[in-house]
Amino acid sequence: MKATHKILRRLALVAGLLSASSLWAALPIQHWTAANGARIYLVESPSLPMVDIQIDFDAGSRRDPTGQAGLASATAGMLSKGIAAQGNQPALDENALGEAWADLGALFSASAGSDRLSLFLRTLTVPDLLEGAIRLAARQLAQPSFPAAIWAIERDRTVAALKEAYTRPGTVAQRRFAAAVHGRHPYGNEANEASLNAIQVADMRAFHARFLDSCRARVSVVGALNRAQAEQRVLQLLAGLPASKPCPALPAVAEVPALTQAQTLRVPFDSAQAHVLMGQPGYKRNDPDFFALTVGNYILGGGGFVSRLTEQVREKRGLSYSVYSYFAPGLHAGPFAVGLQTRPDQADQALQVAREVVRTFVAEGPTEAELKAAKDNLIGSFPLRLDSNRKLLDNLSNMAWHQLPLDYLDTWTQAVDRVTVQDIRAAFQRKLQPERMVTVMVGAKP
Amino acid sequence: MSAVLDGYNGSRLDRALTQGADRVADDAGAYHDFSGRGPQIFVLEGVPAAGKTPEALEAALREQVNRIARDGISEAELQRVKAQWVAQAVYKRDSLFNQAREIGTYWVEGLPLVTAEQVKSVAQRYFGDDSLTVAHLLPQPSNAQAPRKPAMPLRHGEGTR
Repeated sequence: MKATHKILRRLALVAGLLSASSLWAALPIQHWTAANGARIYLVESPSLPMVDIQIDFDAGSRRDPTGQAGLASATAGMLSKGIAAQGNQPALDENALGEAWADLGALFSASAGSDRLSLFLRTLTVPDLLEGAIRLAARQLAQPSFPAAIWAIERDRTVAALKEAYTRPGTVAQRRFAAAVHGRHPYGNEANEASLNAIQVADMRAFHARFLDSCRARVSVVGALNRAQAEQRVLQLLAGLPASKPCPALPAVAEVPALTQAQTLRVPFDSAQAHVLMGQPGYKRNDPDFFALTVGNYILGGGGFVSRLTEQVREKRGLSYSVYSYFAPGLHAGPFAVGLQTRPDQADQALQVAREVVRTFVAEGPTEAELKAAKDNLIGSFPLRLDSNRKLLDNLSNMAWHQLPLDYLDTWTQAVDRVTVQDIRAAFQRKLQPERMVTVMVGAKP
Repeated sequence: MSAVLDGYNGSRLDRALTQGADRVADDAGAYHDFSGRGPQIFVLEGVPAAGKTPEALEAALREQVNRIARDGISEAELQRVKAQWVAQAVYKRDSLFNQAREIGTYWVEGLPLVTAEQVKSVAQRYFGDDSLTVAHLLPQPSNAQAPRKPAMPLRHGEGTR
């Protein structure tokens, strides 16, 4: 308790001395590989007494075993449910763990996306708090207790949440769409009651032991640590995990197969609005067309009120409040999707308009005026993608994960500026086949 | 008070409502927006666990407020909540947007002065039934042909529902 008082007083002092400015002139990114094999990416940001650290492993849901969709997410979620005793360190249950993090004023979370299992730590760099947070995170990472009784409850809660989610037409549409676009690929394989029931804590232990190895860790650090301090803290964080040498390669995951024909799924649903999704597998994040597709999609349906889809579906015809398109590239070809909601009896009309917009855009590309406006917006708003440590960390971990060049952010606006109308048209023609897309309509009434 | 109830994993609502095989709720929370000029709403909410009624959940939420009004909070809880707040005051400066939003509000300077006794007193003074609104959202059939359950009659004023 006394220690907490002292910390409070010291922090109040620190908070009073801070300047309000933390803007970046340039982005000096440091990158090196530690002795345990971890690839470390660092941006020193000394203006606030805090640090954000993200550790990514190749243990996202694409690694879920057949029949156990949800294992990666469950494993990540259960990391916060208790640590086992080791040596003279006592076991901590979920409540003791929650209290310990709150006492440190630090945040620690783990989650699994389709590619990565990510651990995120945010802590103050006041020495005793930093030390405490790193130690606790290291234990949580290396010695999770995976208590079976807690998993039984978490599973029930997850199943209940899934059931609730399925009462919403948007969820139903998203699920059906993901499955139809990705076929048997893990990107389309989402957790359900049966797959969750097939998961035991022993599976989590095995998953953890197999995939969480320092030799495959990508660690991104943004905050008030220099290179030597960052290295020391990262090694401390990973100390309890194996550091295999040589690093065993993980099995390759198959690519998303291209669609062979158009498919339309009409799902009855009694809802005030029909939900429509249309799309296909998109592209992989390391695709050389990345910038042409990013700028092009801004014009097609990513740019909100100024996009072609909004202009045609909403502004000209009043068919929808919201209509959009996106690509979600990852290690594999994540989806391209066009989405809209509309009155059930207008769904077919809105879909026809959206289809026509996509077809025309793929055939002809944007106009010079549209391209200019898109570049102005993307380049002008670029600083807003980097205006906090948290956003820098997101960018840094993305670079680390996809092994983008270290000057990626420095050259981002130039790369956008170089994109031409011809680039966009050619890229969209390479990636999209409007005649072979999946369409899901939930709650549409003809 | 909202932080003691729901500010961290293992806080009071977690322990009392959402844990164990016989838990009353799958999810429970408390929040309060204290930055407005006028009176603000303090919300307690939850999703009943399978086999538990909304009434049982409501009673469990009320009991947690009553416990604070009756027994107060511990010094350890108070210090924990303050440690979190002070850390968050630093974290908030990471965002330009938050910095803009925070200008003109100096609440964090008053926080280290809050006492456990004040939290207890607030629980006693502000949480009476005369200022309480309770809403239950019941599942509706998703099939248009099935008859919908009538909405619960809305009553206002005295009483709890």
